[in-house]
Amino acid sequence: MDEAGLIKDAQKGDVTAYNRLVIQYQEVVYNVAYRIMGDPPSAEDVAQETFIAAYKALHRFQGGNFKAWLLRIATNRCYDELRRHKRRPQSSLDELTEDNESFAFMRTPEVGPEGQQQRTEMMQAIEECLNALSDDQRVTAVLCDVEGYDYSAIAEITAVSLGTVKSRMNRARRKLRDCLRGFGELLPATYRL
Amino acid sequence: MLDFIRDLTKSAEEKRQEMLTAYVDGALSPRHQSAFEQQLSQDPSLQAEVEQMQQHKLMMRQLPRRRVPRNFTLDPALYSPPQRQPLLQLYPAMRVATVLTAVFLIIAVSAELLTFSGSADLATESTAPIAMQSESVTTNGAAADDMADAVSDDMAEAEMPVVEDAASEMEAAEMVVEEAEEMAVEAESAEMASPEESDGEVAGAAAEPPLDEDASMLEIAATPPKPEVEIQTEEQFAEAETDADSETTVVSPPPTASPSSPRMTTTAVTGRAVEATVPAATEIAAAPTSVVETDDGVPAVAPPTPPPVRQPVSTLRVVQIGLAILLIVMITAVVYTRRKLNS
Repeated sequence: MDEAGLIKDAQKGDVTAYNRLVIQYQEVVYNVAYRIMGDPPSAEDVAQETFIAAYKALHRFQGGNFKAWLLRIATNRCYDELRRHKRRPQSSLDELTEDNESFAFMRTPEVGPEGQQQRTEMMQAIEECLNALSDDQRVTAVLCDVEGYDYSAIAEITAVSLGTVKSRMNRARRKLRDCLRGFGELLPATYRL
Repeated sequence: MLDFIRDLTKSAEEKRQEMLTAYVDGALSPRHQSAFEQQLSQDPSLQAEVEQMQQHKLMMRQLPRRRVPRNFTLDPALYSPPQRQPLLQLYPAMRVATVLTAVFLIIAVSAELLTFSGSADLATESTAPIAMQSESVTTNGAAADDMADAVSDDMAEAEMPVVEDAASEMEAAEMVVEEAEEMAVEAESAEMASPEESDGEVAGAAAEPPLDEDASMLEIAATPPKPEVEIQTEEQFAEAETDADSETTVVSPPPTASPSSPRMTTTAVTGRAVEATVPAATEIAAAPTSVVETDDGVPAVAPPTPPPVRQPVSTLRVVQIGLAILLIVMITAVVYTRRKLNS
């Protein structure tokens, strides 16, 4: 069944149809929440709250990009969670180790252990620099650079103007550049910026 | 509008950086993109910045995607919509309907009570004056009794529907009876005193005032109230009595000799007075009131029975029964729904 049919059935109260939509978009929502919140437990809570809120507000969805509508709910939940705790997201170094099942797909057979180590350190640096951004800049940077949305979609998801998105993105890129320059000596020549 | 104001406050460096970022993200308009690319071709430092920014973007895109730790699907038992219970949804309307049914039932019962009381009052009002009249008639003296006997047959055959006219005529007849009684008493006294009195003029004189008065009464009673009642003299009584098939009303003379009987001819004056009183007295019988002779011989005027008042209770009763049944059903439904809500 296509997405429009599932949405229509879900709006009529069919929970099974809605769960099929959840399975289709839960990875995207969880990863965005994880990049914004910075830790898996918070991302899990935000993702669950996002799908519950989306089901309750499904009658207000009048058509269009369902994924963008879902991510808008997710970013708002992230904002609420960040304001409630008034904290900055912190990435855990242990999560980037090779033993972590979540990052198993990072391991490439053609890259040796040394290369894998360098790659891991690079990712860690990026995540730390990403977490150092403000909430608005981080959300914009994640949606643009991590998820690949254009400025107009980001404006729709975050409910701001196009100019605001450009401004936030510019500031985020400058901060990331300055932050990654500090990790430059630690990165291999391939990844030095 | 805020973007325009923001652009005004930005420095040239900021505007240049924004242009660079937008170019890397592919967000420039074709006009601005061609201009920037022209500038880019002429500025090596700008080219280095663009390459660096593109590398950052690539690294961000290569960040690993995490697998979901669990499914975030919803439990159908918790999030399925509740089953429609029309009975519970209609509970407020059922309460209002029950109250309205009770109000309509009260109105229907009140309407029946008002209709019944109205018809009863009408019946009592119509029978009261007639009863009063009958009482006044029965309280008269012996002369009135004799007169009543004389007209008893006439009363019995009189038509019923003329009750009101009979009441007024009864009043006039009552007055005449009273006068006749007085005349009879005086005639009797005069008769008894006639052998002692040598002057008949005294009796005549004594009888004159009654004669004058009776003459006036004669004028009053001259016109028979009902044409169907014929007043006959004594000479015609014997003929009428033998005529059993006669349709006309016959006023039979009293069996006993009474002072008012025209057969008594003690004096010419008194006889004339008595004779005059007979028609007057007999005209009393012209009133078509029913006279029922009781066992003791005292005639009593039976009040005419009022026409039956038709009461439209059949339809109203059906409505009352229907409303009562509906009220019972509504109360049962409300109680059942309320128990279900509380549970």
